[in-house]
Amino acid sequence: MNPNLSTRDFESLSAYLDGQLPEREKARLEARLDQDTGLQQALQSLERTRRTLRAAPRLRAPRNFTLTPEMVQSRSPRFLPAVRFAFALATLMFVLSLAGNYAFAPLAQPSTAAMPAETFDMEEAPQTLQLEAQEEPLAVEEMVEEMVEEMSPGEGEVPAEAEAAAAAEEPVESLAEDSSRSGEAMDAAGESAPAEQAPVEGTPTLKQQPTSLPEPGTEPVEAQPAANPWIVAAAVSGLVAVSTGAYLFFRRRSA
Amino acid sequence: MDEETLVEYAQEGDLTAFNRLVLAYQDIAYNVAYRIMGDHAAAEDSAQVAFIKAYRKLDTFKGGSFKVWLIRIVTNTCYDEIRKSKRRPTTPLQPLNEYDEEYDSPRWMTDPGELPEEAVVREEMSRAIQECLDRLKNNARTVVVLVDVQGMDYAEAAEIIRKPLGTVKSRLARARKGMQDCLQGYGELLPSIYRLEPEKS
Repeated sequence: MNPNLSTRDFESLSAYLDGQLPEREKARLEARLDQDTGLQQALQSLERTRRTLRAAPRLRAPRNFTLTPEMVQSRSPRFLPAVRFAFALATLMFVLSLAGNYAFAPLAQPSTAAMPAETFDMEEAPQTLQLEAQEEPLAVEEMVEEMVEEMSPGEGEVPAEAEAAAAAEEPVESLAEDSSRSGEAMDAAGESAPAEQAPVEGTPTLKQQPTSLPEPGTEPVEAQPAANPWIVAAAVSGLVAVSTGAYLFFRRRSA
Repeated sequence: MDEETLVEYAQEGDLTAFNRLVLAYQDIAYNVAYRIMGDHAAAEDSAQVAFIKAYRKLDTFKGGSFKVWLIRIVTNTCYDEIRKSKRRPTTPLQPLNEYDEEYDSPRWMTDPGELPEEAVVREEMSRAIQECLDRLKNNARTVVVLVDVQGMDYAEAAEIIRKPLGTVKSRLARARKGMQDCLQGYGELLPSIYRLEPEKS
């Protein structure tokens, strides 16, 4: 073979040999072949290569490949299309959830961060009141218990613990009552201990903010960030995509 | 019963009709598979798998040449098997020669009426061709197998590999060049009419 033969020339010779060269190119190549002995030798070599390949022995199939009914039975379980669909859908949802998270999360966070100071005060105020109010019933309860103990047995028709429980169940009203009662009790006793007056001073605050009082028996509720729905959706769809994908992957490998 | 009718019957679920098509095309399917895979056992498996796939996909055959449609399934099955074997290399079951190469001389390949010398020459040539084919890239090998070894025309090859005629031309030229360079190394092993040295005047 002519080592200087270009790839294009070789392609032309190959197509020419098979009669697949367009007339124009064929005429041009034949003109070159008349003058270029190297090109002629390349054509001869190529023709021998083709002859050799065409002479390759045709093998007979070692056995018949006819099919039996068992061979053509579908081995795929009926739910396989559903698994494939679930995989595709979950993957799509996973991508969309991530995209949604990135698209909308930056809009929400800066608005909270850039909130003016007054807004925070407004938000913090009820929390502060809640915390204060939460401590108040305990202080009032203690005070009531002490007062009940100081009261005469005749007046104590209601046991101290029951009264305290009632005070806990109806904090607003009973606190108001307790405070008035405590005032009466203090007047009657002629005592004016500053330590005992301190909780009483807090009662008007409780009256002003009755709705901020927590329900008795409940734990203090801290402000927790709400779960991001995009992340939840991404987690769920990602889990489904991974599980269905793993099933399809291992099924394909074992096939 | 002609081929078209057999295909129609097979599409309706007639396995006997399909098996008649199998018998008609199993040799060419096996040949193509063997020349692409370079291994008899792998070719046998691929041909069988290809026929099973063909039966299951019969509803996708919308007319035209059944042979072309079938050989396309065979070549694709071979590619799949080659990919799988690269992932999971297996130990060949056939005996190896001193160069750790498989013997390529199964008894059924030989023609009982052939003289021993002719059989040896044929065997050597077949082996040289296969070794050179194995060195080609998959896409070039497939085209040269279809056109030169199986004698198909460019249009059929283009339909099988689903590429334009120009791609067939260029891949075939590349494959022939590769085969030519490789076969020159075998020199005397080839019969004189197939030797590739330039004739000395």
